[in-house]
Amino acid sequence: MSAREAGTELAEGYNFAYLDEQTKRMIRRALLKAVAVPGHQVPFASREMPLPYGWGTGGLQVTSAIIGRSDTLKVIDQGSDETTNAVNIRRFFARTAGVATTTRTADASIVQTRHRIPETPLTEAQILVYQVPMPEPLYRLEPRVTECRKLHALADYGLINVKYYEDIVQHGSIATTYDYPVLVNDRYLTSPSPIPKFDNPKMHMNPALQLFGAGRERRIYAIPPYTKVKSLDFEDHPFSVQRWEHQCALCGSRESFLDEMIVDDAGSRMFVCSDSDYCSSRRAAQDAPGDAAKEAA
Amino acid sequence: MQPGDRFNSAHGPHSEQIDMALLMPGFGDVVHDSQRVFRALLDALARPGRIVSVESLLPGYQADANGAALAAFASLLALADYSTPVFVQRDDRALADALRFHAGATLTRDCAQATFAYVHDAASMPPLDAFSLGEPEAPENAATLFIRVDSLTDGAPLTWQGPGIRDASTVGIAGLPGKFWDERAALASRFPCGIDCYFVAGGSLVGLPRTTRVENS
Amino acid sequence: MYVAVKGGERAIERSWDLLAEKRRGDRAVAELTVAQIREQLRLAVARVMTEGSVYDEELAALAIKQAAGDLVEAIFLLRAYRTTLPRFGYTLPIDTEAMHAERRISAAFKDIPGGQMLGGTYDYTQRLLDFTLLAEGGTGAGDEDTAPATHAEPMPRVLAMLDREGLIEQERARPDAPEPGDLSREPLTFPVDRATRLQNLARGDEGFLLSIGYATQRGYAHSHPFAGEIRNGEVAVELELDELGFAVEIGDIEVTECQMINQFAGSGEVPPAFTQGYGLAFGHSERKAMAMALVDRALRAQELGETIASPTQDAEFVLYHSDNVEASGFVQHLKLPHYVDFQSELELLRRLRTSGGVASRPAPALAAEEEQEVAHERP
Repeated sequence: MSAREAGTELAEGYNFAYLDEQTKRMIRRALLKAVAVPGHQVPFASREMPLPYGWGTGGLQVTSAIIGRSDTLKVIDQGSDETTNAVNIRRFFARTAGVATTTRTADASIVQTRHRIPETPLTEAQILVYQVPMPEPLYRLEPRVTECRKLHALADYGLINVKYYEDIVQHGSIATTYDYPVLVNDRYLTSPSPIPKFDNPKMHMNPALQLFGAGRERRIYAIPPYTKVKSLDFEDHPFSVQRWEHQCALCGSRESFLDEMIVDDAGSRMFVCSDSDYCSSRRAAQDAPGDAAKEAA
Repeated sequence: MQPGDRFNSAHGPHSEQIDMALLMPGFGDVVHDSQRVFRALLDALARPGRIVSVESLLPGYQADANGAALAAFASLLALADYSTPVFVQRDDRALADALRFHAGATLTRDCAQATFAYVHDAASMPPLDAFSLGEPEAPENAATLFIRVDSLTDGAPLTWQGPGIRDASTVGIAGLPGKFWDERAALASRFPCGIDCYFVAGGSLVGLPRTTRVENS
Repeated sequence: MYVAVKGGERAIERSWDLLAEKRRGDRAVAELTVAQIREQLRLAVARVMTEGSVYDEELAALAIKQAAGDLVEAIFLLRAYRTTLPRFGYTLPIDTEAMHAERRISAAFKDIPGGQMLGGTYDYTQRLLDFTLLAEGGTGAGDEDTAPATHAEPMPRVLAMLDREGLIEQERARPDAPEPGDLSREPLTFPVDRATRLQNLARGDEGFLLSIGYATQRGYAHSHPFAGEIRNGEVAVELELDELGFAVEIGDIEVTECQMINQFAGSGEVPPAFTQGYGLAFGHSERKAMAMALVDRALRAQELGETIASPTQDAEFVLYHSDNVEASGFVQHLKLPHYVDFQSELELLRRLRTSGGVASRPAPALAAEEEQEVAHERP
């Protein structure tokens, strides 16, 4: 994709990437401390943004604070570049920062995502920014922020272990399928954001820096590259990911997360890769294997 | 403007007039230079031991033997403001004035109050626990130190491990007193409280977050 | 052949066009002007300014027009705009005792120095729809006699009179008092002091505070409130300028203030005295100011040594849910796609139903092709 979205002009009267420098400085300081204490939620003074709270203002503010002229930005929602929210956010940065944007994971230096981790493995040159609705992994068990702060300070995570034990007793397995909490660097219980648990293993020892922004809840956290990230489980009930019996109807992948789609009134179903770039790259490689080899080089 | 300004006319201990004739210039392009310095700092802290440079961002900077290291000056310009008291170890009028003018920073002589600190002479630096280490519920309140060193590569090699480092890195920072590593090791048991450091030499820096384990090679 | 959904940009642009059409409505009807909203929907403007945290009647009126009358949306517009405004400084605290009051009442006393001023209020109207308002065109000059009178006599605070007898607790300015927090700059952190709580309540949703305040009157918290004083009118805004070294009046704003007199409290060391709740809002906003005062008092339970027995006294519960910009955003975010997570839940549910022996109701009839897929899915 070209440096500007077709037809979008740089918005006048706004600072680069919308936020004022004072706000960026405040967010940048919070990000550095977040990196220094992996998985710990650092409070920050979230600003009202042109998108509503709950629609990605945290991710927006993190990206706005880190992005520069030489970056290339990819924005996805549910794994796709084409969902309306991803389109809206990508346009926001095209208008307020004029940065290059792309749909190709491999070409991006910053990927802002809602609810998925890209299938294409990330590199040391990349930063993944997650949009987070509820940064507190314990919130369903303990809604009070003040109480959770104490539990994290003491690394007292008994509540969730009890909950999972009860799940196993009642259902035979842990009944959490997304926003599945992880222990970061053997210390902080962390919400991975509502990614499917299928994506959790990608967080462990990732070469890229992972940053998390929760605007409405006003917290930022981070997982540095090459950091241990372990999904909670028990020895006799180890963590496992979802598997499909199907393959992607478009590219044939058996490894990626598949969206189930109802395609007609009879209820016929079709399974397609959730990650639109991953799927189209595979299809391009299948159509023209020689070209794909050149592209990959 | 901060709420207290109405009642406090002095900006802390360094309330003398800024000497405009000797004022060091700040960033040529505040928006983009700050962003690039920040990305360097982020990268350095996320990948401890990796050398990162901000050399190109203050082209006019006079880096004589006595001047504050370029990388430290650029970092403080990018990060400090009225809400982040800065501790400058020695009496560096030029640095203090520049930070007050360009960043609106307040300066403090009290280590414990400092959000940022610049240490020009590592051998005589205050003990690490004189700085804020944060609290168990708010470890982010710990200070960030910028410590000038002789070299980022020529020192005795130590093994660094932990978040940001794939297996282990060998890093040889030259010019740090031995007690620095002892004091730092003593803080490890207080995690998540701790202190985060950047070693600066000229226009380059190396990050050392509190999570990195440092051992003899 | 399934094709991935594209054209999101065009869909968004088209939705903007549709929105603009709907907002304008029937073009045979005259377009609403911002001036009309500002003058004739004053109470809506007051609410948007208060919760939008910006005193600017024209901007609030513009936001209401742009939001087609959805006040929560208008409040969001104003807040988002506020984020872009540079901050010059902080004014001196406004002196509501020096207010040019258009309305001032006390329920606690029959008569008070300065008198009970009814002013313009809906309180004593009969709530009968006035169909004469359907006819328009009344632009004649207003009746001289109905111009609002502002009071020339001093109006000392009712509560100050109680204070002279030592009967009511008062916040007193102390030289070592901490500066109030600023929620537009810093996140809410607990424990939270009264000044910061009041700021949260001032910009909080009127409906939410009304309900919580109502609950305190019905037994959810110990509350025996009396309206000590409610006043509405204009106050001067003053800013101290460094270059001059003294304060300069930069304008007037209209505010509504409510001081509630509440249940007395005392301890072994301190003799009992009435306690207070306080409310303040921009424009003429009595319901908001009164509800705020009730909730303020309920949230003081801890500092007054009361048992916390009710959610109305739970600071985290009240203060985290008072902001309608946050609440609206999060409630409505459920409209965003969530199909990836839903897919995960579907998969788990199907697995639990087939392996958990849930056989009380047969699964919905499936096509033959589907049956094959389900057979594959069984563990």
